Parts: sequence; C-alpha cells; structure tokens
Amino acid sequence: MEKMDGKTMDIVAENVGKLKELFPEAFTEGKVDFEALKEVLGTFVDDRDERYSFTWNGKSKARMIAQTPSTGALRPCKDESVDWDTTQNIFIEGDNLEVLKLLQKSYHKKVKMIYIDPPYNTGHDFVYKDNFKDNIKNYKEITGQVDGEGRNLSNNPETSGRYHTDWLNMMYPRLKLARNLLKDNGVIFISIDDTEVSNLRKISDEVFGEENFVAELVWKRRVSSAMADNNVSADHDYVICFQKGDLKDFKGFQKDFKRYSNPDNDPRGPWILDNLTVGMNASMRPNQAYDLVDPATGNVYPFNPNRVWAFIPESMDRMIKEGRIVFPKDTSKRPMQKRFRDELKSTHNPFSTLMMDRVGLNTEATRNIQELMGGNVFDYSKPLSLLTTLIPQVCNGNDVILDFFAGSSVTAHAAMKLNAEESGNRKFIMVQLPEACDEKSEAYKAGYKTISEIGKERIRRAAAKIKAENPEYQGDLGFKVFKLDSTNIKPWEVDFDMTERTLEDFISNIKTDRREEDVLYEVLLKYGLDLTLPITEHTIAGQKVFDIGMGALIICLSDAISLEVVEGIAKLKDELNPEIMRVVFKDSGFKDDVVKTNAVQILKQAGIIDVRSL
Amino acid sequence: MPDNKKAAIDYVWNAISFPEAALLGKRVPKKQFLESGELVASDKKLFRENVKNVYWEYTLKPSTCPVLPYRDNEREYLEVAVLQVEMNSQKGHKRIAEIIHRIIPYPLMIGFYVGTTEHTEYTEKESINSVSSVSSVVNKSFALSIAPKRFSQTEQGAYVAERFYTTGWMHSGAFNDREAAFVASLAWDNMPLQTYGTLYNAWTDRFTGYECSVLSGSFTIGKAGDRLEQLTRCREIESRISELRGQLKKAAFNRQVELNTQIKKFEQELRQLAASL
Repeated sequence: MEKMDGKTMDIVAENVGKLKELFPEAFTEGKVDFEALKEVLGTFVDDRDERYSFTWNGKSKARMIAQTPSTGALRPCKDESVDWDTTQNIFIEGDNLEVLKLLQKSYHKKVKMIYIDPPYNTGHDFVYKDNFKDNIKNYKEITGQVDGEGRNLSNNPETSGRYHTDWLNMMYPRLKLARNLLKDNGVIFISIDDTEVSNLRKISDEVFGEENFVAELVWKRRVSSAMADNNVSADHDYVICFQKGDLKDFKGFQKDFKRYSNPDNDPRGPWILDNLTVGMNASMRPNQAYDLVDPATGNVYPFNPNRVWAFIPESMDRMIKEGRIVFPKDTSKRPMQKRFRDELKSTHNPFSTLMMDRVGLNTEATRNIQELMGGNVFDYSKPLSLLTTLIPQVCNGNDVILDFFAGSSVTAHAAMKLNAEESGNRKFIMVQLPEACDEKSEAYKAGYKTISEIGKERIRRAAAKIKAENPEYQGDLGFKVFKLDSTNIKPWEVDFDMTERTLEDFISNIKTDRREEDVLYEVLLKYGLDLTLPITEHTIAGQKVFDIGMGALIICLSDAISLEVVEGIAKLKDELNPEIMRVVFKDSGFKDDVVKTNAVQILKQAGIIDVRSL
Repeated sequence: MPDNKKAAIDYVWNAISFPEAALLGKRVPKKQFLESGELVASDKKLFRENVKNVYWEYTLKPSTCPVLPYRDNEREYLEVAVLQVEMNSQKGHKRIAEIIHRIIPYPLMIGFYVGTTEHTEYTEKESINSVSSVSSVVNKSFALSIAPKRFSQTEQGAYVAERFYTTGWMHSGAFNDREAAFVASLAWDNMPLQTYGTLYNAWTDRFTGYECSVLSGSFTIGKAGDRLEQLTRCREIESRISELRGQLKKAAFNRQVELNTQIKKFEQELRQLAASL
C-alpha cells in the first residue's frame, strides 16, 4: 500500500524539472552547474554590477516565500455555505498567500481571469508582513485567532520608512503564485492608483513578462474634488492588465448599426457614408494626391494636400465603377465612400482603455453596497459595472474567475449577475482575509466582525436579488466556504522536537479536533483535485465512505475499517463502474495488519489496484 | 451452394418481400465504383479489399411495381434501387455504405452480407468446430443501409446525402426483440405505397427507430424528424465520451478524476436521452 506524501506542489522541483528538460547539459549529478548553464546561454548572461533591474530590500526573500510549500489546509464550512452539494463557486477565508499555495496543484492553469483590488498602500490600508518561517501561525496571530506578540498590524504608514518595500514584498510572491493558476490564454486585471502604479507595472513586467502587457485601463472614480492639495484633482485609478501569453483578443463591443440605412435600395444592403481620405500628406503619398473626377458629371474635386485620397487612382476607378463613391453636387464638398454593414471586417468596436461611459464612479459602488447591504458597510469597493464590463471581455460562459483580494466580493456578484443575464456558467473563487472591521465602522455596528463576513453576506444578498429579478433562473447562485487552517495531519507538520508528542500522537496521525471532512478536503488538495468535484457520502457497514468524482476516488477515514467496509467498496465499484478507481484509507484505521493485508487482496480481486493510506 | 452462401441476405429480402417483378439480380462491376474518381486512397483500399461483389438485386420503378414517382423542389424519388453487397468480412461496412450512397446519385437500399467460400470446408462439422461456428455467425449476419438524398444547392444536377443510416450486423438466427421488430416493420405490405417518396420516408422513420432502439433497447416507429435531433445529440455525447476515454491513459491522476466525472455525467445524460427516445 503506497503512502501518500503530504506536500503541496513543490514549485522549486517543478522549476528544476523544466530547466532540466531545456538544458540537460547544465546538470551534473542532479545539481545545476551554473558555469555550464552560463555557457549554454552564451552572451545572454548579464552579470555586470550595473545593469537594468528593479530591486528592493527583501526581494529574494519574497521570491523564496512564493516557493516554500504551504503547510496549511482548507477546512470546509458547510454552515456558512449556500447550496453546498451542487455549487461550483468557492469562497475561501484566509491569507491569500497560503491559499494561493494550496490551490497551486488543484487549479494549475485552470483560471481564465484574475481580478484583484489589492491595498493601494495609501498609508491607511492593511498591509501585513508575511512570516516566511511559519506563515500559518503568523496568519492566525494576525487575525487574532492565536495570541501573538502584539505587532502593529493595522496599516503601513508612510512613516515606517519601508513604505514601498513592504507593499512590494507583499505583492510580489502573490503575483508569482497567481500566474501559475492562469490558463495559457488567461488574463489578470489589477486595480491600483498613483501610489504604486509604477511599482506594480515593474513587478508585473517581471512576473508576467513585459511582452505580455495588455493595457493600463483608466477608471474614472469621481468628479473633480475641490479639496485637491495643489489644485490638481486625481480623479482616476488604473486597472493594469497582463496576459499569461496566449490571449487572442478582448471581445470588444458589438457595433451599433443604427446609423446604417439603405435609402437607394443598394443590393449590398445598409450602408453609411465614410471619409474617403487618409491622414497622410501629398509628399508621403504622391500616388494618392490627384484631382478626382466624377465620370458621370465631369465635376473635378481637387485633393487636399494634407489629407490625400484613401486609394490610388486604379483602385479609385474600380470603386467608382462599383458605385461605392458618392459625389456631392457642390465640388467644394468632399466625395464620400459607401461603407456596407455586410462588408465590415469586424462587427465589434475595440475596447477603449478609457472606460468612461461604461463604468460608473465610486458613487455607484457606494450605492451598490448601500442598496444591497442596507448601509455603508464597505468603503472603496469597486462599482459592479467595472466588473460586468471587464469579465465579458475575456471570459466565456464556463470560465473560472479568481479574486484573491475579494473585499466585498464585487467580482462574485458581477459573475453571478452576468451568468443570470446571459445564462452563462462562469465560476468564481473568492479569497479574503478575515481582517477585523474597525470597531467604529458602520460595518462593525451592523454586526460584521470581519471583512470576509461582509464578502460572504454580499454574495448571499446578491444571489437573492438576482433570483428575485429572474425567478426563472436555475443557475448556480451558491458558494462553498472554506477556511484556512493548519494541516489536519500530524506528520506533515515538520517538527524535530519530539518531546512534546504524546502517546496518542503515535496512535492516530489526524489531529483530534478535526473532522473527517476536513481531512477529506486536505486529501483533495494534495492530490490536486478540484474542490467542487461531486462528492457522495455512502454509509457502508456503519462507516462513512466518500466517493469523489463519481467513483474515481474512494476515501474512507474511519478508525474501524472492517472487511465488510472493504467488501462494500468493492461492490461500489461494480455499481458506479468508474473508468479508474483509487481507494484511500487512514493508515491507523485498520484493526491490525491482517485486516490491512486482506483488504488489499479483496480490492485486488475486485480489480482495484490503486490502494493508498495516509 | 449459392443459396447456402447468401442465406442471411435472402432472409431479410424474404422478410421484406419486394414484388417479384422487381427482381433483377444483376452484377455491378466493382470497377465502376473504384474508377469513379471520387474515392480517396484509403476508401479505395477498403472497397477493393473488402467488397467481393455488388448486385443490383431489385429495381423498384413504376414498370416493375405500381408505385408513383415523386418529385418536389428539394428531392426526387423516381425509382429506388436495392443493392446487395457481398463482403469478405464484416469490416468497414458503414464506410462502404457511405461510399456507395455517394457514388450512386439515386435513392438506394443496400444489404450487406459476408460470403462463405473460404469456410465451406468447415460446414459439415460446424457444431463442433469453434472457428466455423464463428464464421457461421458471420455468414448468417446482414446489415442494411439507406440514405435520404436531396438536390445540391450549390451544384446543379448534383445530390447530397442528408444522413447515412446503416445498421449494425444482425444475426438472422438470433435476433433480439428490437432487431426482429425492425426487420418486421420493413415488410412491403405494410408500407405506405402512394409514391416512392412516401416509401423512402417510411424507411427513414424505421431506420431512425432502429438507431434509437440501439440506445433505448426497444424499437418503435416515430416521426424521424422529431427524434433525429436527440439522436444526433446522443451521437455527439458518445463521441465526446470516447474522446475523453482516449485522454484517460496518459493523464495525471487529478485529470483522470476530472475525466471520469465528465464521462459519468455524459453517460447519465445519454441514459436520460435514450430513455426518452
């Protein structure tokens, strides 16, 4: 029986593997020979002291932190979930760095779009320091789940002297991890303002590649404020957009054909009059600088030396013959060309980086929150229209959208709204730190202790609103809640100090305060399985047996595995008839080695060879 | 001897009972198909190696049986030719049916059977020789095919086959209920014989019923048009499933679980669709 390894995806090993595949000659006895690697790369190596680079204190540590595997687990929380059994949406409460690590295997290249609205680092927002020794413990201290040393957690004031550094150390590992989750044609959108936009561009260039920059979108957030310091009112934020590398296009917007008509019954269909000149002067395009003659009337239309005709004479003749040119009676006016709707190269206009008329101001966001939540429980959320504009540009009906700075969960709201409007099936993954609400805030008074509570409640209320507005809608309006915690399984916590371990520790390797479901989802993550796979619970000989992915994986975490249970699992295989089947037991679940050996034999006879323990 | 050889196909022609006057029994040279110029190399090879003989067995036209020709803007059924194809093995009959339907621009019914000459030495001790009992199953099996055709919209005078209906191999000695019901439903006396159009449409309904019965387990006749959409969806699901199965072996475990889930969901949908066919 094979024993399961307890690590999340080992990113370093992955990287080494990739390098080895590319440059086998740079490896000697399994280690990298840097001199050899340099030789392979020829003149591409830049090791001068003075070279183009962007660095800050802690960058290597930040890089390292992104590569340390997580020791955490996501514990399911059915009570706070909606439609647990059927929903494909996920809300995870926890530090996004750890959560991104935990999702590395299960959601590797599965996410089509990431939208994040990270702290802008204005000095008042929450930027906490990762602890690269034990970040899970750090997380629990910060969120008040465990007593810590009492650090200044709530903000990152300009006076701290590590103003940009802290922010960069926070963002860099998260972006690196996020990139792994994007599909090859995936896209990330990041909201930001003037404070960190230049730094964000730089680290994004590094993480995603300069060539994968798509756009710096401008979101107008307010009308000019009279309170501007130097009489300059900064009224816009940015949404930085990078692609993973294989994005085809934004969808753009369907052209409006209202202006097209067909007054002369042209068999080619509706048309509009369009300019017949181009923005080139006569010296740039001498071939296109000629006097245009209407062959029907003999009228002469002189060329404009600053804007010559769009076509050379031969093409123009053909256009005239085909009846595509309209000559005005007055020769001082300009001839125009007919542009037919059916001949348009594209039925869509491009997406403008100035998102003025499609996206509302901050006041819309405030209104969104007030209307839905009955009070101003969340400041500076993004307007719903920002997300309902961005999502359809890159996401198709079945794509997965991730937001790991979920805040008030506006991304989830927008995804559900769009799904209902166009019967799509986009799925969302929200990640939010249970950051405490300020006791003076309206949110706190309204009963919300943490930001993640606001996020969850918003999804519930948005779902109810969508349902009320579309009573016929049958789509997914639920979400599964998971909470970050330390691993459920003891040996996975690397600890060399054995003195504190009790006898009980050696009997069972599962922590006593954890439920079977907790372990179940940990196993899913370690195997790299989607958290929303269908899971059916069977009761066999009084024991719980979970069937994941319609029979592909059977997990029994019982402490009293009898041969009846094992036979029941063999029978389950006949019933479900899956294409593959792996069975996982708890190592300590068997009464003795005889039962264990017999179990393996019984399953073998039923054609189940892949049997493991943890 | 020849009677013994083509027992299977005679069985089905007897069951249908075309009017005797329509019997033609004329051999069509294989060359005519092979030289038609439309065949790609692999089709040519399949046809050359696996088709032994093609016969124009019955010719259904106003002079041989009293049914009116039919013609409208989309299609014409002036007559129907019934072909029988003697094969060397059961391999590739569906593709061969498509080839013949494409080459001959008239409404056809094709019957397939496998010739027996290679195995004649076994026939005496058939019951004790396993090789021969396999070959006898093969020799008693037949398959039928039709394909409704309409005028091509792009090319004057050309025809397009709208869909190919080709049954699996059926063993005349061991029909299951749905196969028996299907063959019985083709009996000439029960056909709407106003025109060759009504005849061919009735066949289409029955062949559609046959395809549905393969999925649902029981044969019923219904309007082909209504059932076709569901049938097409079933075929789509079946091909999706086999595509996913193909990916299964090479996939990592987490992908395998995902594939299994998708396959099982498709199988559920297929079962639901089949039940409603």
